[in-house]
Order: sequence, then structure tokens, then C-alpha cells
Amino acid sequence: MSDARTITCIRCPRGCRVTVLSVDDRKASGQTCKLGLEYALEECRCPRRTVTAVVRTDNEKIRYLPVKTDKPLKKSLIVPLLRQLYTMKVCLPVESGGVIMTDFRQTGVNVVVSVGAEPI
Amino acid sequence: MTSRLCGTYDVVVVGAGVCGGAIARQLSKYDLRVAILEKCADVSFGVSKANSGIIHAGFHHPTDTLKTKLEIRGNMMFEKLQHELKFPFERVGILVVAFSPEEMETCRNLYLQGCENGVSRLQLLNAAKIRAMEDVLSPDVFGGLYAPTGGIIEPYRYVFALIESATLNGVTLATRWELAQAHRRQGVWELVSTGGETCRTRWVVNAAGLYADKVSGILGAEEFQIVPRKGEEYLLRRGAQGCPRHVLFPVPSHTSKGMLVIPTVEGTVMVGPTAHETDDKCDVSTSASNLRLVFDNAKRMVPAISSRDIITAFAGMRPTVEGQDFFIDISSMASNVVQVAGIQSPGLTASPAIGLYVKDLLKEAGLKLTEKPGFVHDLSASPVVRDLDGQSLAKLIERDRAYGNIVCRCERVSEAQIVEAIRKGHTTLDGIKFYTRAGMGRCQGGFCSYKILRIIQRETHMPIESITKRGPGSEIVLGTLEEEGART
Amino acid sequence: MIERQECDVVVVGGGAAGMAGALACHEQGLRVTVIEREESLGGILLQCIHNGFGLHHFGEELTGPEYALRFRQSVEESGIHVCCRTTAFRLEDKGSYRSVMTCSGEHGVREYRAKAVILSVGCRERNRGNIGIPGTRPAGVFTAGLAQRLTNIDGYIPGRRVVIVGSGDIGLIMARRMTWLGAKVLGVVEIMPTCSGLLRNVVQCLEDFDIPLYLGHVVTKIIGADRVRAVEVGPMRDGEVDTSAVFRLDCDTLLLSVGLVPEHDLAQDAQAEISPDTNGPIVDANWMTSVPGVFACGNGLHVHDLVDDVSHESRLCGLSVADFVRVGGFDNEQLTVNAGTNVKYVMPGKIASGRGCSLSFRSLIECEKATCTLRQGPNILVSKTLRFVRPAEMIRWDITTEKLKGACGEPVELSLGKATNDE
Repeated sequence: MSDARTITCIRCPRGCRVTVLSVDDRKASGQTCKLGLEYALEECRCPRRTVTAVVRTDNEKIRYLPVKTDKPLKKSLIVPLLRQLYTMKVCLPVESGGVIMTDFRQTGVNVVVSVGAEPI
Repeated sequence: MTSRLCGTYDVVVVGAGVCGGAIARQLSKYDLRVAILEKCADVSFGVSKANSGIIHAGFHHPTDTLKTKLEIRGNMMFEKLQHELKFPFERVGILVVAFSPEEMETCRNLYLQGCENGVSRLQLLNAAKIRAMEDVLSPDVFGGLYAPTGGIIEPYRYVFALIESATLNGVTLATRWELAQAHRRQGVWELVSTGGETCRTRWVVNAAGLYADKVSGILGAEEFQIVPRKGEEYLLRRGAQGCPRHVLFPVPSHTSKGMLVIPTVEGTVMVGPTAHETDDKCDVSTSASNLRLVFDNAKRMVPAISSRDIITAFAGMRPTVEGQDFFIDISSMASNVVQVAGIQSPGLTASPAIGLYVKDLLKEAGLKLTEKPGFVHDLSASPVVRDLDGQSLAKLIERDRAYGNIVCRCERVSEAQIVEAIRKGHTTLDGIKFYTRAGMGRCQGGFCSYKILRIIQRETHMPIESITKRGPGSEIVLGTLEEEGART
Repeated sequence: MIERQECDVVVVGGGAAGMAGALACHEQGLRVTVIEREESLGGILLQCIHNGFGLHHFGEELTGPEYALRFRQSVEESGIHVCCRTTAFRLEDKGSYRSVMTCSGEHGVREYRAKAVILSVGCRERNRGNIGIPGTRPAGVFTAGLAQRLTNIDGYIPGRRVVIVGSGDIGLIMARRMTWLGAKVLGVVEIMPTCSGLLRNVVQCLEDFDIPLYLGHVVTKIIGADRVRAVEVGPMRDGEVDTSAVFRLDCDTLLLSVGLVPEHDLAQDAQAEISPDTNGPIVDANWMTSVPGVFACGNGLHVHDLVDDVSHESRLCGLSVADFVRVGGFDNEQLTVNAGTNVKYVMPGKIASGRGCSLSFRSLIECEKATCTLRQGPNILVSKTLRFVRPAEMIRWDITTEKLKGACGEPVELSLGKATNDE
């Protein structure tokens, strides 16, 4: 069994400090609600984050478009994802919500365009 | 803006500040081949960058000094210069403020000195009269000295205009040209830059400001030391509390004219400068303790002045030389060298007269001066969108759409003005700032910097990472996402 | 030469506030023109590519550009007249109408004559000059918003070794952004003893990357002749820097996230009274400034923390404007709202007698459970329990007409106190 880990829960403004004693046994202390317990366990099991970034287009007037992952991605895969995004070039036009990367490294996470654009 | 230097020049001026500019323009009135060499990325980036912009009246220094002679003469030349060169200038008048009978005695001495120097219309004022002239003054004021011939200008616009006029009249300007070596070959100087470029000339004028001692050494001329004396100043926003109508001086000390409250010609207020000697010519940092010092002094004269109105702070270096007078003379040690060193206050005021004085020194030394018939006196006025009424602006936009595109909204500077600055060779953010005022307002470049970077890139095709604040080493952007992508 | 156009309302600024205000006016049948100086509508939202917007307004978590898109689409569908790349530079009250002078490359100079004007001009960032960090003036000192614009719209990397001043959300978000761009963020320096940003941002932006947070510290000096080379940082003790504990951080970039200031130049141009507390124009219960027919909302009025609150406030402002235009003025009795105990300021500074209102205010205290009270003299008109109040988070209190019936005559006072256990 791994050592106890203390997490700051970010599900609500309270920010409880939750100490997870056992992930498998779902044992933790410090949380004041169920969401806090779930968040803390998930943070220990597999911390994930939604990634937002910008991606280069093929247009000289609108050079970058904002993009995001459609689900939170495993933290350890964030830097590889960003590296790949920096090499990409999206051709305009592209619609808002358009998918520019599918199932990154088989995680089921896609990268979508937050706001699309027409070429200028 | 580097132009090609070729052939042999008659006169090369080292240093494109207020003195170099005035001398070059003066010489451009004659049939001479003239060049100016400037080590920074743009003109006016040395001592002349951090100037208070005051045109002094001429009562501060003793009669028998060169600086006084040139100050008085220079002071009288500004109307004509403004008419020709179109820089902002106003003769708002100077008040020296006394708080005690002892200080009033000093004012009286300044009055007498001023009269002896030939300053016109000086007046001594009692408390009631001085407060009537300037209602922001402290109620504790005892009296003072009024010099109606004092004034304010925008110093970088002045230097830019001098250089523009000089180049318009045939002077070659080379920026990013730093003198490393000098040799005499066949009666002619061969100047070599740190970059290995050479420039041949019959005469060299050393107007190198803080580095005049170094240049003198390279030329094998007089040995002297330029001791930098730092001055910190604070700029207060337009509409700041306590903005005076005149330039306000305290009673001077032995070493310094004191910390002033200056209404700038642009409507902002400057307070300072401090004055302390330093070892480091490059240390133009400001400090918290000096901020307090400056504001304590300012509030003594104008209680309403508030540090809450500060929009920026900066420091400059005065190039002081032993003896504290201007050292302007033909070198007695090196052939064909004119020294223009130790030009601290009132250098800006004296500058037009320095131009004439150096021209006369060269003439006496044998340089043939034939007036150039095609000398163009006037610079055409550049439109300043901020100063235009609706109708004039509308007409201007019809002529060029880029005048309607406001880039710096705090100072209302249009894209066309920025493009004009760039086309005149000001390709750094500071150069554009000094030429147009873009980035000098309340947001200090927060909203216009990114636009200006794009415009510079478009006009000069420089890669974005080459665009600088004030020359190589001060790059704004250290990379681009595209390159990050190419690297992985 | 100067083209003249007439409409009911000119909305200056097409960001979150301007779009919401314009839509509300349009909905009420007014002819609206929006003046926007950038390339398109959206304002600062366009560069806020991170999540966290719209939870209240749309019930979803959106990125800034997505939030802006929703409003922009509504504006485009409505047919409201929008002028982008156009700068408003003069505002005058001419009695029977308001005059707004604008210029653009496309249309030259135009004068808009409108019955009402909404100033939804947003705010600017406090900069190095305002907070007076001593030292040299090298390249590499940016306000956080400028850096955000450079990274998110232009794709530039402003620096590689970064120190951030200010622990507000903008500073925290940029800590993460710069790290995700491959830069090393050496720390966030915060003068107050507590962090100003949201806890979730401390976790997602600092803890995730082991970025140190120096609370109760200030940058005492910037070092570097042409580009930033380092900064000196020192702890505050009893209101002064403890110079014996100053340490150096070698960096090439300093990002400043040290506060926002409403842009009030046009309001001032029109001679509107400016509030010394918020630095924005003073408005009454109808969101109208001291100049009849000139209204203000959004960050240009006072700094908000949630764009949802900006949209809410601007909609109310737009509805007020519609009343003004239809009727030609207001005749409701207004009561002054004073900021009482533990309240830094209240916006607007007046409420209409016997009518519901939406008050925005900031707390001076930080606590988990608090009670805010609106009283008139000794009488408590209405109170509410709040959770997690802190100075860094603006609070919005919507009070119904029901609760304010009968409140008339005397000024009212909004105060805040720690809740007792049984409340």
C-alpha cells in the first residue's frame, strides 16, 4: 500500500484538504462531502486535466485558433499532447467544435477547436 | 537605419545626441561631406534619452563660463528652430521658489547673475506675487525669481528633428556604429568600428556624451574622465494633481539645480531629477529611497503632487567633467579633432549655440565653409492625430486610411504615424515611442505593443525575435510557437 | 466630410459587457450601434483560452472564446449594427442627444448622435510604473494580459524563465500557460499574506507544476540592462521589506498581474463623475452616470471577477437604457447605498426606491461563512448568508422588489459580518 497522500479538493470553493489512506479501500479523511472523496481518489488513481492551447492555422490573418481536449487527459500525457499540437497546422475553414485530433494515444480524448474560423 | 559610409568625409560627428544633432545640422548648411556615427540602435538613445526637456533661462551659472554664454545664445534660438523643425516647444517661464529670507537672498543673487549674463525680463517676486502666478504653490512660499524666457520642449522630438533635417540636407547617418579604433593615414582619420567597418574623414567631432573620454582616448586626444552623475525622474499622468503652469525650481545647491516640478509640453508632469555620482555609466536603475526623496522635495513646493499619479520612472546620466564647464575646443593633442565633452545641464538649451560654436571653431581652424544654396530649412510637419479636430482628421483619413486606424488609444496614435516613424528609421519600440508617443500613456504599452510589433514586422520584414525595445540585446519576444513545433 | 449617423443607443466596446447591453437594448426595440476597436467582437475573452467561464450564465464550463462566441452569434443574428476596427475618441452630452466621435480607416470620422450611450469599455492592467518596482528598465517586463495576448493570439513566446508578480487568477493562469509553452516559471510573488486567486487555480496552475508561491513578498528590484536578467525578491515584515532576507531569482521575464483599473477617459471627457473607490464612473440605480444619457457597465464600471456577472449587469443596464430612451428620463426616487462595515465598495451607489436591484460589492474580510445585511437606519431590510467571502472575489446580491417594498426616504447601508454559528 502506498503512502498516504494529501490533496486539495477543487470541486467547490471550500478546498478541503483530503488525506487519502487507501485508494483501493476508498479510505480517506478530511473531505466533507462525497464529491471530495471521489475527486481525491481519482487524483491518486489517475490525475487528469482539461488542456487548453492554441494551434497554428494555414491563414496569415487568423494565425492561431484556441483548442481544448473534450475530456480531461491523464497528466502524464499533457506534454506529449502539447508537443504534437505545436507541430500541427489546421486548414481553414474549420467549425467550432471541429475535431482536429482523434483519440490521442488511445485515451479516447479528442482535441476540438473552441471557436472556428473562416479563412481571411 | 545604417547608411553606407564611403569616400572621405570632411567632418564626422561621433554621437547622435542633442549636440551631435545640432552640430551635424549646422554643418549641413555648407558644402561639406558630413556623417554622424551613433553606437546605439537609434539616435538620442544615450544621454539625450533621459532629458527633462527644459530650456533654461541662463541665470544658474556664472557669467564667465562657456556654458552660460552658449545657454543664453541657445535659449534665443528656439522659436526659429521650432518654426523650421516643428518639434513641440513652449516658453512657459521658470520660477525659482524660496521658502525663507536666506533662500530669497540666493534668488536675489541668481537675479543679479542673470542680469549680468544678459537674461532679459527677470523679476524678483514676493510671496503674494509668486502665488498669484502659480496657485499650486505651497502657502509657505516666501517669494522667488521669475524668468519668463525659460521653456519646455520634447527632447527626443527635437533631436529626431535635428537629425532628420541634417540627413535631409545630405548628412549620412550610421547607427549601431561604435568607434573601436582610429588611425591617421596621409593626413586623414581612418575610424574603425567594433564591427570592422571603416570611415575616413578629415575632421572628427567628439560629441560622444558619456563616452567622450573613451573616444578621446581612442583618438589619442586629451585625457579626461567623464564621471556619470545619475538623475532619477518620475513621470505623472496627464491631469495629475498639482500640475504647475511654470517650471518650478527650488533654490539651487552647490552641485545641483535641485529637484523640480516640470509641466511637460505633452501635459504630463515630471518630478526630479536626483543627482548623485556613480561609477557605473550603465546603471540607469531607479530606487525606492530616491522616489521618496523626489516626492518629499516636490511636495515642499507643490503640496498636491502625489505619487499615486506616477505612470513611470526613469533615470539618466549626466556626463560631468572636471571643472564642470563645457569642454568645447579644438584638441591640442590630436590633429583635426574637436572636443564637445562634459555637456550636462544646460546642454539641451545650449545645443543650437553649440552647433554654431563648433562650426566657427572648424572655420577658424581652416575648414572651408561655402554655404549650400539648396539647404532646406524646414521639415514638413507630420500629422499628429491627437491634436486634430474631427474635420482635419477626416481629411487626413481620406488621404491615407491608415490615419483612421488608432493603434495606441491612450495617446491616440494612428497606424500611419507608426509607419512613418518606421520608415524614418525608428524600428525599435523605444524609437517609435519617442517619435509618436505610442506606449507613453496610461497603459504604458499594454494595449498597443502587440500591434506595433506586427506593424514593424510587416514594414521591415524583420523576424519577430529580432524586434527590440532599444537595440540588440533587448529583444521583446524570445521565441514563437511555430519554432517550438519545428523543434520537437 | 464627417459622416453623421443617428441611432437610439451607441454601445462603446464590444466585449462581454457591450454585447449583453446591446442585446438587451435591441430586444426592447431600440436601434443600436456597437463600436469596437479590435478586429472582431469579444473583447478580452478572445485571449482567455482557458476554461471556467459561463458556469452561472450558461450552466456549462466554457473557454473565453466560446463564451464570447455565444454572444457574438446572438448579436450577428439580431442584425445590430456593429463597427469593428473603429475607435471612439470623443463623447459629449449635447442636451437633447449624446455625440460620439469615432474614426476608422474604413469609414473615416463619424459622429454618432444617439439618445443614450453605454460605456462598456473594459479596464486596463496596472503596470510597472503604477506599482513602482525599482531597478532598470529592460525588455522582458510585461503585464500578464499583454503576455497572454502575445501567446494566445499571436503565438509568441515572451520568455523562457519567468517570475510572476501577483497571485490573482490572471497571474496563476499565465503561470500554467507559460509552463505549457515550455518556459520555466520560477515563482509567483504575492504581497498579501494570502493568495488572491481561486484555489482551483492554485492547484491547477502552481501545485501541478511545483511552482513556488511566495506569499507576503515583493519584487524589490529588476536587474538587467537590455533584457531582464534577474529580480530580487524580499519578504514583508510589518509593512516594510526585510532587506536581510532578500534573495535573487535569475530570469528573463517578469509578468505583472497586479490589478485592473476601469478605463474612464471617455466618461471623463463627458464630464462624468468618477468614483475614487473603483476608478470607474459613478452610476445610479439605473446604471446611469452623472451625465444624463450616458450609462456604464462591465469592467469599465468596476472590476468583476466572473464574466457571468458582467453579462447580468450589462443586461440590466441595457434594459435601463431602453426605459430612458422610451421615456426620456427617469423619475424614480433613488436611495444612496453606503458601504458599511467590512464592505470595500458597492455598485451601483444607488437603488431605486421600492424596486428590486442587483448589488455588486467586495468584502474587506475573508471568512467561510458571512452574513451581508442591507439596513435602513436601525431596520434590517434584508440579509443573506454567504459562503467563502474574500476580498478577491466580487459578490453579487440580487434583491427582489418584494424585499425592498417600503424602503424609501433614507439612505441604506450594506454591511458584512462573520456569521454566528446559529445563522
